[in-house]
Amino acid sequence: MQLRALASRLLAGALVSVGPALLGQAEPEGRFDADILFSYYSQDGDHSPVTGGIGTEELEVVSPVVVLAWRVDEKMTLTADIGIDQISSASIGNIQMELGGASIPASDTRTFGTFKAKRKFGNQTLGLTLGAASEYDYESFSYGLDWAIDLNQANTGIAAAIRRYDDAIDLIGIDGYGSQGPGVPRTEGKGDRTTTDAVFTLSQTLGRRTAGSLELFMSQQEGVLSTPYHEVILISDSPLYPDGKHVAERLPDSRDRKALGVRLNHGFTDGFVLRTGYRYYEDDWGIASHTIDLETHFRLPTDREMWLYPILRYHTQTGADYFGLPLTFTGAEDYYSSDYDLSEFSSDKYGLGWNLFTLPNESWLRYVDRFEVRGTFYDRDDGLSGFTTSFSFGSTF
Amino acid sequence: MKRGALIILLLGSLAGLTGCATVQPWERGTLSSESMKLDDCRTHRFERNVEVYREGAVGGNGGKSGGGCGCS
Repeated sequence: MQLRALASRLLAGALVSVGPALLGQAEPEGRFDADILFSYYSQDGDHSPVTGGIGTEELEVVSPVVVLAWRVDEKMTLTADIGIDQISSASIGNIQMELGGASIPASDTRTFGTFKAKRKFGNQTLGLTLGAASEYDYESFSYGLDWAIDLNQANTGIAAAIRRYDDAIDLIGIDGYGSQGPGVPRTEGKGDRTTTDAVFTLSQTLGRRTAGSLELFMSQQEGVLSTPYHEVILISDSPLYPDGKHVAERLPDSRDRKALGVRLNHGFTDGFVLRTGYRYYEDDWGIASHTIDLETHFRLPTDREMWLYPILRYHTQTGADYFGLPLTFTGAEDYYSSDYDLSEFSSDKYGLGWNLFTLPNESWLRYVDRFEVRGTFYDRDDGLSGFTTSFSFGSTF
Repeated sequence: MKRGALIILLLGSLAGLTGCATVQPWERGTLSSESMKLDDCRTHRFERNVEVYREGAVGGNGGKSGGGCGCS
């Protein structure tokens, strides 16, 4: 009996080792993955920070990204993400109008690239990341290191990553040009912002059909954290400002953020998987939030691996200490903002996704090895609503 | 203080679980499906960035916090 069990184990182990070779996966050396990701986002609401918390928040973003991955050999992988976001918004129109139009472009373009190198050393992986991004009012350079280890026959994974962003920002103040007084952030010229993120992740197989992870995130930001072209409408007794005095928002020059995320995926059957996530977040500006993610994946009865899934998400947060409605600040406060992204609110998201993955040595529509599409509607109880859709298709060469 | 204790308890609980499951490679059929992966799928990435900037909250589920947003 024991011999039989041992034989079946050996046979199964051999199949696991040889199987990928039979399916054409044993020689990852030189394999090249190319994926194209296209995303679209639109939103509208009535609380634009550019006009002091009143006025349209209309915004559209079109974001094509190319993702390349080259498996140089069994140990080394190089990846590159390159994209150009095109942003058009009512805010840009408002800034242009206030500045006389010449200082900023008619629509915003964000260009970015991230390059990663990863190398395996036994059951450990080390990675290096370099990135850059550019928009009309800032330049960003980022770099980072990550490390991961597989333990317990790959049932346990521990990972750590650190990344730093060095941003140089053109300060564009549409109200309160230049110096606003001693100790108050400038609203013209150039400013710096640094962000350091650290992430620790523990992932664990909890059974044949269950896997979970825990992610601890910490971030520290320093420098210019306010946006000079965000307005705040102050209460004013002066007859010069009958509708309130418009000034630039003021926010602290540092921010510490922490989050703890838990994920749990369970496959009730081979064709029904429940993906769940919960996150708690807090920062030293006074925001604390709870977020729940839920996706139920149904496998469609086809030869290929094809999944259809409804998406649900709920988020609730407390407001930052420095947030206030228009005409609630006097200007005597140290900090003030009417950016509703920093306010107390709840939001819902719901949508649908569809993924398709072909078997090795097979393709879909001749060239596509994998295809993903998802669309979601976003509703915030302060009146902001949005729609996002993304699709991606890729091939392996 | 209470919150810190809760985080430590959660971390400890999951760390404790690490010793309780060893699924052999030939038993990983369900776990190896795309839907069981713990990472976000590729098309979720853009949505995460939108969430980060529209909600003043970040981390714990991927996403980034620096490098500008293209969101104004």
